[in-house]
Amino acid sequence: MSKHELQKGTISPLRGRNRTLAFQVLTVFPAVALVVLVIGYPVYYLVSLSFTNVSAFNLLNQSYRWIRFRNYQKLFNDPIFLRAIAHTLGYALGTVGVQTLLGFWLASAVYRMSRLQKTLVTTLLLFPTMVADIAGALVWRPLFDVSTGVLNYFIKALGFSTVNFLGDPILARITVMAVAVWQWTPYMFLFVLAGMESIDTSLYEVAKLEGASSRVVMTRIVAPLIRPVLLVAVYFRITDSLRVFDKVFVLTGGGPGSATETISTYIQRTGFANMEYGLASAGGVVMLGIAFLFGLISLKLVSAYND
Amino acid sequence: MVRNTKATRFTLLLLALVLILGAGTLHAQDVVTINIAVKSASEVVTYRKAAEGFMKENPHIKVVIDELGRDGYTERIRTLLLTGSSDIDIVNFTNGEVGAFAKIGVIENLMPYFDDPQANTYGITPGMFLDGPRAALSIDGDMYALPYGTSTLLLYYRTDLIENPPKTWDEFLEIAKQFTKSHNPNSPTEYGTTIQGKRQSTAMREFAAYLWSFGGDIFDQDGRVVVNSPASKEALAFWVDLYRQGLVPPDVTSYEYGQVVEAFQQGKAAMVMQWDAAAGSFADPEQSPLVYDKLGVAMAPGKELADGTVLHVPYLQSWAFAINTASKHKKEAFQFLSYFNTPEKYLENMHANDSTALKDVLEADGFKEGRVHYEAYKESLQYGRAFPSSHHMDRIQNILDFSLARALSGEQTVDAAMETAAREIQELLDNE
Repeated sequence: MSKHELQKGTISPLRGRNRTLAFQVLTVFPAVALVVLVIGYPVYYLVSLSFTNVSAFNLLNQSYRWIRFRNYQKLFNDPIFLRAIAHTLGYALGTVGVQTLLGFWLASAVYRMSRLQKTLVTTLLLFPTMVADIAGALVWRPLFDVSTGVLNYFIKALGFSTVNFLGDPILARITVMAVAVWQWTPYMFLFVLAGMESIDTSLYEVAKLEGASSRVVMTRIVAPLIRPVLLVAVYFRITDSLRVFDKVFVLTGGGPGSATETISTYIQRTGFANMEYGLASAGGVVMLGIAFLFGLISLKLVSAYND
Repeated sequence: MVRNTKATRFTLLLLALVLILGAGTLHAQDVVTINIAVKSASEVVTYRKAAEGFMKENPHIKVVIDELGRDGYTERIRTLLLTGSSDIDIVNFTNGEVGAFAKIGVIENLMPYFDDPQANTYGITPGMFLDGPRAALSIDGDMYALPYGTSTLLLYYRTDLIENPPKTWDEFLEIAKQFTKSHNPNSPTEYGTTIQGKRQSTAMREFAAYLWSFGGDIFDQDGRVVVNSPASKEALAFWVDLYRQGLVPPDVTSYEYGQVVEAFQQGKAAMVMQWDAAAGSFADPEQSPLVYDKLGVAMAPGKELADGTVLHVPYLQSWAFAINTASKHKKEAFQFLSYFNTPEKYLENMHANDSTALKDVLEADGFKEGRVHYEAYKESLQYGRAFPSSHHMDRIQNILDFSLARALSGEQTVDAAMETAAREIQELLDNE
């Protein structure tokens, strides 16, 4: 091997690696730039606003100033905001929990159906998810009326006294959650069903031969095998539920009192109604933090499963 | 020579085309479009009719009415104005917003436009408007918006059930009990009355009539916060008591305009406090087959004073039109407003449910005709009042609205709710 060849041999692979690296950077750059632009900058702007006293009255002349953590102090000293966090977490965990259980139950029932039945039932079940949140709530609102609502009509017909779905603080919370369960259970059902379809049928057959009940099949075979997919679905549902606004706004407006106040209605009230954008931004950061926390937990659970 | 002729013909044809297209473009440039954002309501029919009438008389101005939904309307308008968007030239909102928008500088002071003959082409003057709405839309004497109508909450009652409408709150309470099944099993209606108790809607505006007539207020004459005064608390206690005693449907915490209309139309309540805009639908046999022929309308009740007189203070509100500071066609926008607020044009364009803020229109036969609520309405305008046009007012209303909701739901006592409201209002003022 000549000196020249040796040099060529040592330099050439480096050049190749550099070229590969440059190609990789160039390929990834648009995606990274897009993420930074679409997610990074708004988050940075939100966080920076949360440390200012910006409001409608100082926004246009740019006379707002840094007030350090005062917005956060105000938020965490406000019992309504703390209640809003509790309601939001309760709503997200409660609705997603019920949606997951019902999703399993529906999927196990639909799984045993013929292909035609499966297609028909799945299509029908998916209808609520295609409805916009606000439209769903508007449809349900008159049904919950104490005097003229269809639900109370049947309740009265069965001989029971009327139910104050939206006027009672606890019932109002449950009612809003029930509408969410109605709308988003099919989403979980679809994930579970898809997971079930991907499992080797021989496992079901063995379980059947061993005399395992449906419950055992679901909890011992299906659930563990589809866990990663399910975790992703649960994560999506939880982060989406944390943003709940439309349903609450239409059905109760956050009331009675603050019974159904969520972080989003709180942010809407401070940001859009009271025009305190700095304070509302701080609320947004808290919401983002909670969603981020759920994201970390989900990732941890998925990686624990993979390990 | 032939080639030259062809070339000449081609050039002439091209020139003609350019001229035709150019003329078209010039014509298109001459037409100015003004966009008006309005809240979805029965009055939109009038706005559209007025726009058509105006465009006939002013073909160089095109008026586009952009009807936006009721939910979150104010928030959308605020965002639009605060972002400096020039997409909308004229915005429609209530007098409660004027103070804040004027202070921020996103709406025009209209006084110079009144004096500008190029803008005020129909010759309107501030003096043409009723004193109440004019004051409610003015800051330091300058009008920042022109009212379209003056709304007020009236008492609608069933004449087959109630012979004499209640004049005082005590009478109102007694009649409400008489027509509530849980208090009187023989009552033909389930509830005596209703309230608009949904948070972030009109609860505070309805409550204002109770607050003021009980002698309470938000500020006293020296500008001190008095929502926690005994009279203010007494008013809230009375309002909350209607709910506690079951004289209103138990889900009124989710009631706003639509639910109250339904409650009366469907015979659920014997009397309701509702906006004057509902009079038309209550008197319509198709919309209200149960009640249209037994409809009575009166001014909102008041508090009986020690000397036997009754203090009536109905709440007044004006839906108004203001010009966006960022608009590129402010003069044209005012031209439309001047057309719209000319009494003759108003009478031509108005819809059966519309209210008015024009002195001449209020007295016109054309306005009185077909309005079952005319006398009660006129009386209400005489005794009523609006919130002051301060730039804090909007946020103060929100604070009070939340306090009312918390008192109504039992989350706070009446005392605590009013003390909280007073503290928060004071904090707001101190932070300014």
